[in-house]
Amino acid sequence: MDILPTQAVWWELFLLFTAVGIIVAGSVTAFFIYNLIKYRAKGRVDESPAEAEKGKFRIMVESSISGKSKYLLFVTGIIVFILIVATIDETLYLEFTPPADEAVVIMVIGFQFGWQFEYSVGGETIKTINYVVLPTDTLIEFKVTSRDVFHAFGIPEFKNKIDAIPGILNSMWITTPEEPGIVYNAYCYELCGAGHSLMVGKVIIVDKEEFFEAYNAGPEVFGEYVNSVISQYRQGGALG
Amino acid sequence: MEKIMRDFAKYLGVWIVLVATAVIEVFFVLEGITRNPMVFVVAVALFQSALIALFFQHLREEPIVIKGMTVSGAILIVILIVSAVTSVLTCTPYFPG
Amino acid sequence: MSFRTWVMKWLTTTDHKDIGILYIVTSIGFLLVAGSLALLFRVQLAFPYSNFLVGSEYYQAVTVHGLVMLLWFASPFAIGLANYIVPLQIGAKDLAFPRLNALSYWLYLFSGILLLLSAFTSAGAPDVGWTLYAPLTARIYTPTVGMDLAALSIFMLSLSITIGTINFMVTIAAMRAPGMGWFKLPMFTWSMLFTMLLMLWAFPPLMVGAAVLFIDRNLGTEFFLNPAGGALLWDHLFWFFGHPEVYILLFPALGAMADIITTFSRRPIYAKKYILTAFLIATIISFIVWMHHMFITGTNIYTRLFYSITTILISIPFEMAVMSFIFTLYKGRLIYTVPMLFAVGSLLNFIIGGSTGVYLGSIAIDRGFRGTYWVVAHFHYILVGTVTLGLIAGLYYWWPKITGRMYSERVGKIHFVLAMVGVALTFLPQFVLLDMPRRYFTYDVPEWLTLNQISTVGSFIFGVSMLVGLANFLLSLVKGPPAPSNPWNAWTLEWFIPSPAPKHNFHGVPIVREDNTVVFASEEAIEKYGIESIRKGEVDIPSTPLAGGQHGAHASHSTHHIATLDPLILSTGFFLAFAGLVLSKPVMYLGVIIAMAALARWLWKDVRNLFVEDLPGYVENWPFPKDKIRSAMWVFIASEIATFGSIFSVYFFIRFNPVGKFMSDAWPPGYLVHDVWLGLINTVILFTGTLLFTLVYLGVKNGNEKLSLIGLLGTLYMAILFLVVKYFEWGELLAAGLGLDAGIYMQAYYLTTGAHGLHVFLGVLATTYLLLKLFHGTLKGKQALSEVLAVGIYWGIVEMVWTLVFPLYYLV
Repeated sequence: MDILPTQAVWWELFLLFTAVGIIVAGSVTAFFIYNLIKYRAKGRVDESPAEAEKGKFRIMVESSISGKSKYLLFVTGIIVFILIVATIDETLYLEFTPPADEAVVIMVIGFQFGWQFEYSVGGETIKTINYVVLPTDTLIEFKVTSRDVFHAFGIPEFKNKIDAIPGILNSMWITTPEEPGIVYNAYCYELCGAGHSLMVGKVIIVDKEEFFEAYNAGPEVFGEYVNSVISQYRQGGALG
Repeated sequence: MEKIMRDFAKYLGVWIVLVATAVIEVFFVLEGITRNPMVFVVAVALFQSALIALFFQHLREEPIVIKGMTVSGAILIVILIVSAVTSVLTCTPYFPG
Repeated sequence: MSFRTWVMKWLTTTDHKDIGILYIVTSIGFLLVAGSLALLFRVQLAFPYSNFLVGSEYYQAVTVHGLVMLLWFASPFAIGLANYIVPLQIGAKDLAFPRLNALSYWLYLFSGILLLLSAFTSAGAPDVGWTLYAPLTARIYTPTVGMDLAALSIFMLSLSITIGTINFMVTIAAMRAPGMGWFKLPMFTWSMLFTMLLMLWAFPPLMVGAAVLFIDRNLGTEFFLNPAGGALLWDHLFWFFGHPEVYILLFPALGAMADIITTFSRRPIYAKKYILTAFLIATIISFIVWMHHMFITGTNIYTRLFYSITTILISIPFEMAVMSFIFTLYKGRLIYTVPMLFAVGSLLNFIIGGSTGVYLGSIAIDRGFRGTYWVVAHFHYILVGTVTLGLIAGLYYWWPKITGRMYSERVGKIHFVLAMVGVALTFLPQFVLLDMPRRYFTYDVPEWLTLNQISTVGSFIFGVSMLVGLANFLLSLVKGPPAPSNPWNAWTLEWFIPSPAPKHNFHGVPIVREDNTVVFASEEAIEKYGIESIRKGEVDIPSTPLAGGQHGAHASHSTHHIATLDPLILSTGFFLAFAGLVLSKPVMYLGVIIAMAALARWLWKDVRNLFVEDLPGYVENWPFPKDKIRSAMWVFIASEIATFGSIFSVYFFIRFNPVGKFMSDAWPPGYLVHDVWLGLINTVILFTGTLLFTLVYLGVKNGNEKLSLIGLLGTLYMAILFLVVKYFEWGELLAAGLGLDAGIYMQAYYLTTGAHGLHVFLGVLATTYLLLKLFHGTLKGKQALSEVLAVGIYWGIVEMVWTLVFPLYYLV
């Protein structure tokens, strides 16, 4: 599969922002701290307009502006422009699910307090609660909604998440890694009630061939397969 | 007294225009003359509001900043409505679940 | 002073300085409450598997912490400082409306108590997060009365804020000392002006949101519950408030920092006009960035990209401000007193907090960061590291002026070091926790444990630092050395008077001359030479502002400091009414009666013109009218526009929201549901009422009492007729089965016409007030004319709103 994974895009953009941030904020901070040290008052400072002119009080209004600071604005403008262009580019990439030869579409329904995952196999729906089994090296599209309150579905490792809102169907995609046996946590990222913290789903990655073999064998076989993978995981056994 | 009457006549004129536009508005919408009633009524409301602002509230006698504030308030309301409408017009479709 | 008079002094005061102190003390009280809650849940997070604070209780702590810190600590703390300092900085004797200022304070105090009261109800405080996301707040998901109390407390606070906003805007606009032109205003005053501008338009949506939430929960409507985007509707209303709120908190701190940095680097602020431009741009843009809180709601991508761009752009004005601050330090002579340390410390934190916020403007990055500790770390760096420390810098800076005593520099420096270390230890680890979901009370990822523990240690260090600071302030009160009038050799007007500020602020009228020197002219000198020649420096008049023993020398201004219980009683009435609405009906009736009695008592004093006091003829008020009441009404109108704007956006959202396509199909054209002719009659009635009101204006202007009487009675008749027609109309609709349960289009109808009807009712009250003045013989002169104009402007907005309500509900 030659689809650039969501997390790769994310890290790319994150590093760009970080690099820019370190250059800009770093130089600003350096100049700031340099000033703090260089221009600290030595000895007593007691001169003041109030004392300089007896009986007169002067309010201070403004100092002159040196022309150079305008260049600074110009530089900032360019930097911000770069960030905006990069953002638009990467955002549009993440927004639309890329075309792929094989893709698995999974319905995710948030509820208080858990995730319901639904596979659509041969016209039937296979439901699992809090556990989802995904094939390796495949494009996965999640269709996310909620049954009751506002949730947000996200798997940290893929750096992608989407709100689960009652009445609204959102979608989000990821590409699974090539190695089977990894288990990810899927969290709820929006406070949804007293059990919010318990809303952790498990995303189990299994071998692609095994998965599609069961998937193509019809709903019953696939249902059993999914359940067996989940119970195997829950018993702490190694994953096939 | 004559001056008062002259002033009052001005307000009365505005009142007649306001009532007339309201009646015409009702007539046009009920008779189905307007092609897009929503746009039509909002436009009429803006016209009426402008009349009220200009005459009944003596806006013309107010300093520029007050006018500016009123205008920026109006711009704000437009931003509110336009962004609510646009951002919302373009939502993903309703999913019955 | 006996204890009893001391208590009465605080309960009845309308002096801006006293109220400033009340605000500061109260907000610090709320800070301690909310801060302790934060420590509690930091303890839980350090030991994730413990049962110390879990489930609903954890979320109650989180929710109350968020709400109280943002709405009842940070903003009011700034308002407290501003209450004391802004009138002094601009050379005013007080705020424009001292009694309304007291009312603002008491409403604020009681709204906070109302929120905290929810913690003592059976199911406890709300546990839905400070963002109160719908539909979790709906009664079916959160049935507790605590939630109702929270909604009402937010509503009540919004009232307080709106009144305060009007007061400050008019004060800064129209009460400046002669010669105190706009660009001579100190940065703190300027920043408060921008803050007020933001509050004016940000709080109405929140107020509408809280009111609708309460209606949803208690009358069975489903604005936020309906499956067709109700959750998003709340998001829009809330974040339209929520983002400007950040700048509402930030601006006062930046303003205080600017004044402090100016003073202690012994240089004028660099490029003041740049900073002001930056603030203005930020103020405007802040109203079009709110959807960055909704980047992953699935709303149209191009709309979101627009908000992404505006969000990233808003970093530019703040970068301009920061650079100006740093250039002020450049080639200065920096004196590291405690306020200066806090100011540069919070500037440093602002750079960190600000640049980590730029990430969140990018939708792609927000997909990773939404709802994680990165967001928490970012906004706490702003709210704690910058806002809180910046305001504490302000408190240290103005402490000598407020209390007349110096504090210990040594203890202050310990406070500073502990606070900076505390902030860094608490929030830097949270940047690293960039995957951890917010508001989880437990987690099973081992890598998160140490970071959370460091964060907890940091939060306790920060807590200790606050106690050190508090001890410093209390010690200073007890045995601090007396403060000189200008301990920092500062260059703003508040330092040119004794510490603490004397009762009447200035002995004589402060006049800022063209060469920026200030003289304090006596009334006699003004009469003799005239303001202009003093301002131009043509005459040199003696100026002895610091001479003591002149308290009360200007008896002519004593009306400024009215001692009255009315604001307190009115707020108590509101409090009892709101609390009773949820908890017990008899208490509610009692509250309503108290509130009405207090209002009547209040207005009766005005009917008798007890406190007539217009602006003196020599204030600097360009470009506003020399008329406080009319200016105030215009500011109020501006906030009303935002209020009704929010209500109409609810209408447009529900009606044209394709998320709820089925719903817009289910929205029948108005003329099928409502009686168009009855609506048209009401339109004409309202138009006629306003027409008749112009008679009042003409009558008062020309001294024709008969005309005024006809006008007032006519307006009153028409307004009451309008309400009567409305009453029968509602009755008919209800009889026809078109009640609140008939669908969202009827709910929206009742909400909008109800809000409008309430405004008509308030108009009736205002008109009755004028009628009473007429009977009492006080409806004449300049004061009366400006009141009549103000009420006229009010009737205008009521009419304008109806020109939209009528066609949108009755016709299309």
